[in-house]
Amino acid sequence: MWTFVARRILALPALLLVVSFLTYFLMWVSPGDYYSKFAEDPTVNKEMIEKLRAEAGLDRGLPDGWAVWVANAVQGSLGDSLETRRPVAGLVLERLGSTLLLSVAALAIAWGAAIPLGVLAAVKRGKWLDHGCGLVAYVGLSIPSVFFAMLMILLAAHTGWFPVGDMRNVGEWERMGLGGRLLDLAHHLVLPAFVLGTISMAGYMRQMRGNMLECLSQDYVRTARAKGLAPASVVGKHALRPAINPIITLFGFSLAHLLNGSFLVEIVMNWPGMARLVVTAIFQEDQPVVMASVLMATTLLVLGNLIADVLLGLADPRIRLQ
Amino acid sequence: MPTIGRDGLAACLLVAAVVASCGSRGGGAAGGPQAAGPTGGSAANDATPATAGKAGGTERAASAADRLFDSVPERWTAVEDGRPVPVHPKVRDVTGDHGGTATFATAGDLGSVHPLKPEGATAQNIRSLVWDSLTTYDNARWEQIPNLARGWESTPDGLVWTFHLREGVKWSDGEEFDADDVIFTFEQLFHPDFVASTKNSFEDSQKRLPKVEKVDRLTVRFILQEIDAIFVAHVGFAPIMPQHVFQADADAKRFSEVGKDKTPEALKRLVGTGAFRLTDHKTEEVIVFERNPLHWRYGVDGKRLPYLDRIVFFVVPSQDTQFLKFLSGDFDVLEPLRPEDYEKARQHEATKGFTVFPLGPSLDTNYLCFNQNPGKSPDGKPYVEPWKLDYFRRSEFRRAVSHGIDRQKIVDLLLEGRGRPGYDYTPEGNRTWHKPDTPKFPFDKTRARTLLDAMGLVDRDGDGVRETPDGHPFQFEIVTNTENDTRKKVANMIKSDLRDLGLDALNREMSFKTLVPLLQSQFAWEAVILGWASGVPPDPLSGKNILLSQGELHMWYPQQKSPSTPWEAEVDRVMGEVSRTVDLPARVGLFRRVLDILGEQQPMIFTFNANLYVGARNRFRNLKPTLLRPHTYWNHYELAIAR
Amino acid sequence: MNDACEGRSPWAMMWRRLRRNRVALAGAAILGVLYALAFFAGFFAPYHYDHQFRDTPLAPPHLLGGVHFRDAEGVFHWRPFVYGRSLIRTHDEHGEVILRRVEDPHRRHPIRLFVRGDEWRLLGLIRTRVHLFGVDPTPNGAAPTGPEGSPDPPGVIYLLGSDLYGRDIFSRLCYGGLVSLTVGLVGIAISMSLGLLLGGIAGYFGGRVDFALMRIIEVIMAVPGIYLILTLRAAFPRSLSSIATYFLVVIILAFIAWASNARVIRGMVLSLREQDYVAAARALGISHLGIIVRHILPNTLSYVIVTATLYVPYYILGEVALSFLGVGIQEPEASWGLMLRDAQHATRLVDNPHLVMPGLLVFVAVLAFNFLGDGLRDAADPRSVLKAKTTE
Repeated sequence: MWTFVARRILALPALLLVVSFLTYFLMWVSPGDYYSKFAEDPTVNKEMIEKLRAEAGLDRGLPDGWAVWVANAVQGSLGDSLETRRPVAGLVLERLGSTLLLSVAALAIAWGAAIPLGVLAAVKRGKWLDHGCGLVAYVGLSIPSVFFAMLMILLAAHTGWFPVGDMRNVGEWERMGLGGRLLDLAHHLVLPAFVLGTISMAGYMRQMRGNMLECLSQDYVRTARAKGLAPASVVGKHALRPAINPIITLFGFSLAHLLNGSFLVEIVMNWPGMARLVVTAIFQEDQPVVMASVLMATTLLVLGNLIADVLLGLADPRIRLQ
Repeated sequence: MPTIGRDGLAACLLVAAVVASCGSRGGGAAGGPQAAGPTGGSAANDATPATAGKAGGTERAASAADRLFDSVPERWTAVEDGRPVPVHPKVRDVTGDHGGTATFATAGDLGSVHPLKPEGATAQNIRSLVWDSLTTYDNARWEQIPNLARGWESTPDGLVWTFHLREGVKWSDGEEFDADDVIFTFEQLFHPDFVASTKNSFEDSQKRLPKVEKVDRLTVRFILQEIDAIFVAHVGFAPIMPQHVFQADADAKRFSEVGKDKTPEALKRLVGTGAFRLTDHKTEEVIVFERNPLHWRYGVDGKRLPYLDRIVFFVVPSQDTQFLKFLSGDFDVLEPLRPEDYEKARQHEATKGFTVFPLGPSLDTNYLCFNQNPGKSPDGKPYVEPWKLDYFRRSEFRRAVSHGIDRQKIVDLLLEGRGRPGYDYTPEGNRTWHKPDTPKFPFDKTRARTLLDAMGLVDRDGDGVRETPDGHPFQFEIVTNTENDTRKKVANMIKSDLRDLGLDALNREMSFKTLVPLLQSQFAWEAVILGWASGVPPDPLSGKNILLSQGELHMWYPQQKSPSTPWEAEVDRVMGEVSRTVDLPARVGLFRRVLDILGEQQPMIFTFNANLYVGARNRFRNLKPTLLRPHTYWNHYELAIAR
Repeated sequence: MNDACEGRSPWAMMWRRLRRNRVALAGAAILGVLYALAFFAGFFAPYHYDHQFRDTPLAPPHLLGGVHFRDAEGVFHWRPFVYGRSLIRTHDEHGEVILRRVEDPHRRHPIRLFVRGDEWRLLGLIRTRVHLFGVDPTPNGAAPTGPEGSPDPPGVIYLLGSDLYGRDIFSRLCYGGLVSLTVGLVGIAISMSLGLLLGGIAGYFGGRVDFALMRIIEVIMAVPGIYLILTLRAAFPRSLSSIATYFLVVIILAFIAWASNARVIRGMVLSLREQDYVAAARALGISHLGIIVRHILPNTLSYVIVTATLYVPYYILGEVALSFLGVGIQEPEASWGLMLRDAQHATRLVDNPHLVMPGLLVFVAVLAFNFLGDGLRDAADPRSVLKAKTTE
């Protein structure tokens, strides 16, 4: 298995190279560039714009510009954002942190709710609890995140229980102690994490219930029941563990989709994460930011998938990774 | 007046560009800060609109009186004939306590904060917190006032201007401010390698720049080659930068790079004389200013200004979220508060402890413009099909279209009635320059149809679309930029109105960055919906670029070698006089001729003016919201929190 | 298929199982209604999607208590009617304009079936003006007058309320469905054809072709979807004609989706080609194309159908995302995502909750596709029933 992991990791640079080319190409063919908007300003002369373009390396085209980008990237320099004039690496990492915070909180909610609910639904199969969970699952699977997030914003605005968007109270942030900061973060996290958590919980819960049902129908579980073990012990000891194994794989995949999932919710809820950075950067053609974000997202996705595969391998010895 | 000067334009452009990324924010030349209004009108005519607002907090600014503070003449004098005389006091009956934080929201994040070359509307607006210019504009009284210069004088021919600098002003790092800093700033600004819109205000009709020289430690002199009617205002566009900090950058040819780096260490280098220092910036989250303890202004209570310890701007791209957050108390001042949110805001006023200030009709405009450019692209294709151009260039056609637009419906639907149909280049909010009786062509479908019929545009095949005599169905495309929600909605409604008249209008949205080259260099468009945001000062000279036929923003036919119509020639001539005349009433009188021509010819078919509202918590003192930007924090140094 | 035994073919069995799944059938029924509304939008919608009745913006839904039988005087009418609306302009105590839009109980507009209204084209061809329902534009049975002849604004029926321009939301939802719902069908058609073709080729021929295709697929799948969607979108001009925008949206979404389809199909084909009957066909000298088309692809069909159904929501939500971010369908065209964007105006939304209808409709459509898709999967693969049938 370790050779498998090593091979996948070794393949990553090649993959990133191709993805970077693809991104560079798309940015290159897209009409206009970051400096086009300055052309409407009659006070900025053409040479100036050309100079700025040259400084940003936007005049190099393909494949030279891309090659230069790669060369710089290999030396650890991802360039500066054309818009904010900040080094891209810092910018992206900062935003990545915010996004991961939200995603991980959502993940915790999703998994924390999905496993017990899935188990309960399976145990109470056909009862109202099961139907209720089924309904919740379908709703979660089908509700557009934009729509859900908008409803929650309305709720927040209406009740005043939660902040209307944002990640923290930036105005007071510097003066808060650690405890205050954590509380403030948590307060801001509740709604977006709830939205994302509910949406992703649905799938896991269904899966968990399915696995559990399958395990409950296995011979050894029936044997355990026949032996007269307490139902709780049957479920907990005999059925739960094998039922959870396949779920672990799903967990890996959910890691891979950390960035993807929260995208629109971040936009609606003004979460200062990757989504806003990327949308702004793409539409303004802030090329260095776009390149770095796409590559960062790709890396995370690939690593997430890799973890999923490894977990699968660990969980089920019958599967041999190759 | 609703003009956008080059500076204004740059700001607008940048706003729009910023908006681009953020979806439906208003902002920008026409979209943004919506404003407008009506009703009472009293607010618009009051010297300080703030006084018109019902004072929710009893402390709020009631500084109607024009008191002069002769007790502090040293600080507040101009020089005439070499003798100091008092000028309008800068600090009025303002008192307050030190301390407190005021929080605002801004739609766009901070770009480069170079004082002479700010990137983005936010950077443009917050410059004055950190840097002072020689002169500045009092938004409440609509007049240019002394700032770092305590006074100025000019020779009788109006070509040599001497500015006397204030003594004892310190930079925020403790160094002394003097004439060398002023010379340094203007030399850098006028340097051929330095490109910035600020510079253009100083160029005369031959693109020549003034010479600047040091007379003594606290006196500088500018030598012009042509009269500039508002030279004192133009000087106010250039914040003075500290030579001792930035000389090194200039020597290293990195002067343009100042302000790009916004790490906390780099911000420490941004030394200014202003009331605040920019101390922290978190991308797309927050911009923090802290009190400059060495600032030179004092209140009449003898306290050193500013009163506030901190000013914080939260970056909130969506105006919608801004409103919700304001309601939930996340920040103190909402500018602007959209007309459609007015009622909701009033409902929460009492419970949430804020006050809504109606400021009257805003100075910003929105207009429809037809392409009148008869030129051809390099490959010989006319920018506009000749048969269409023929109509676009006829004033009857443009008047018919103006008759066809139901402006009141636009106001009712988009602004909940809180605005008014707009017909003027200088809307009524511009109390200095507005002319009430310009020719107008209001909504009148019958009249519009008659005019179109008379021009031979008749629906010949009964499909609801008029055809020209030679059988072209009259179809054209209205473009606008997708970032500006208001404009898109106006476009949608105008299109529908024109279809009613039998003109088959189509809408097309494009991003600002695509629209700009189309208007400025490709010229192949038919009709466009845009807007002008007002500059400060709201002087028509800041709109030279729009009105002059060789101007780049003469949207309907830019950069003409010589005026293509007699009326454009007349506008050019009158504008020349306006820029050479110093006496304000005389200038206003001259400019009325331009307004009449614009009304008659309708090159820009104006649509509406929104009412401007701002909201602010009641704990403020000295808050004087005005129609001019920035509406609420132009007097940041006086703002105080009531104890 | 053609060699299926009478009544016991896998397809018949699948159908029998599906018929017993009431949830799936309900999903199918809902979808039937939605697609019918979309395809015959011109007929079911009382108005054209861009017909702006500017006197009656933001009207509440008539369906919620707006349809009356008894008028203001208490007189009963057999034909149901809606009231006209009027605008009252007042000022608040600060002198600011306040607009109130209210029902005018003196203007009764009876509802009629098969009325003549805005022109539309049946199946894009036949011009007609007939709509399923509508109301008299003039009140109380007055004779119709010219466009400017009537002092009152025209009566309009707003089953689900009106938007900012006074356009009928129900009509716009019908027309918008044509975009939002067909994005999925067209997209699936493209991505599945590509997936089948390329996945089939890769799986069947293996070797270098397989290697190359798999690497391409890996690259596409390695970039998080929304990032790829936006970057792809940015490569095209923002401003396109409505039809071009529509296809651009479809193609972008399909471009991303085909990769995962192709990968699964490749896997299936890889195992199918080792089957005895394929070897037999090969021995009989049937061409590659013949084998792929006759023997291999039909065996992937159940996967294709199930996946297609479960994938449609991806397209619907993709359209919503693009339009919501302002780079999808543009005004005055209608799509559910674009209409949802209007609801982003929070204060307006609080006062006019009916603006969330498009969001609700997206939700219902996706829910129905999930119902049907799960049902189909269970029916196609009985072994999975236990696993997946979690919610009957």
